Amino acid sequence: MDDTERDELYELLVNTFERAGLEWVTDEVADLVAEGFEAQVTAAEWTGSGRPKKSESRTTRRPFTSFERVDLLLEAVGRVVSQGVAIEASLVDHFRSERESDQSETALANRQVKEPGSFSRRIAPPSKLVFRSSTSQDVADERAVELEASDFIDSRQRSALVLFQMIQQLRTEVSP
Amino acid sequence: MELASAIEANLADAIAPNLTSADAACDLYEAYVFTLVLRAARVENFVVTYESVGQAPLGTFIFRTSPGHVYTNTHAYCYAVITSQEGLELEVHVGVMVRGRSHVAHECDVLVVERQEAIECRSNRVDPRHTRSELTVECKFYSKTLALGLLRSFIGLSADLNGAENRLVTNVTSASVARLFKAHNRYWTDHLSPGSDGERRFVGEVASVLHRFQSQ
Repeated sequence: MDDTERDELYELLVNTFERAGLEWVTDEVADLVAEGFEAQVTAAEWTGSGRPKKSESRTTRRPFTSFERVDLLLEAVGRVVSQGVAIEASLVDHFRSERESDQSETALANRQVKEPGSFSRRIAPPSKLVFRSSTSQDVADERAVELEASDFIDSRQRSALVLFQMIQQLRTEVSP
Repeated sequence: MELASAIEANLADAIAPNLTSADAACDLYEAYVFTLVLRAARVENFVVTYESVGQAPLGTFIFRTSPGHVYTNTHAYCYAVITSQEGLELEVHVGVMVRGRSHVAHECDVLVVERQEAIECRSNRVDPRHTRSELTVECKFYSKTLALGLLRSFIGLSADLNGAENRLVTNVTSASVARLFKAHNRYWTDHLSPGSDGERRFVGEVASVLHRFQSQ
């Protein structure tokens, strides 16, 4: 694969990942690419202004190569997919274990907490996590993790593993 | 290019809805770090219970997706209460404000605060004081390396919240950030993700904070 093909692949992958909702990842990678690759160079390799001492190393930046750009993008998406699914699975495991180990909590659930002017209530270890904005009553944009839908999480873990392996394979294929 | 097509075909099944924006991914990461604090509490033999500000739907734990207050009851937001064997109580919250040394309120992604302080704050509709907080955790989930600007703001934040132990946790790392943290003597756990060394280190470090709290 030559650099022109790598550049085409980078553009193709950016569009693919953005269609899948990972625009924030492609944006973070684009920011990094725009900054350039940070490297330490010796005095002999230094091409900037000023004269470093012979023994001195300097930090400089150079543009990422075509391969490095593709590799950065694939590494970033691979990380987000694999860690994201692992975090969901970790949340499922945590609350499942809480529910199994502490059945007594369920009996205490929904009791008013004794504190002055309190509206707090005891709740049982949950089976569903919900993410809601504190600035709006609207629940239309809430996101949820169904902790009891472990089959669904298992299925996503398998898909993520397959995807991660494909990403690793592609990283190998595009390397010079 | 065939492999790129295969990747596209598999993306939809592999990506959780909670990963389709940077904010959503951070919310999920904060929830994960919240559970690690509870895991550390179990290590120190604290009893963990859960409460909500108001009546949450049965079996549902509601997290904030934007900074709020311990007293906000727009929705029935939930938190954990951890109780030591000696009966000392702390609360663990996600995404709430804390008053710093300057009396300015700062957002804490995860906060461990004295139970009595949290009760009084809910009653008086004010934010908890940093001097009554044991631990604040700033959580950052990134796809790539960390920006130095983020660290500079964390250093400023921790100077104002110096009554508590302030920690930064990230799923990634950065050599320049590591140098900056070392120079400023701040607490940072990098590579924090499920099953990682970072996870083990963080749980151990939070357990130490809770151990010190019990020993006071």
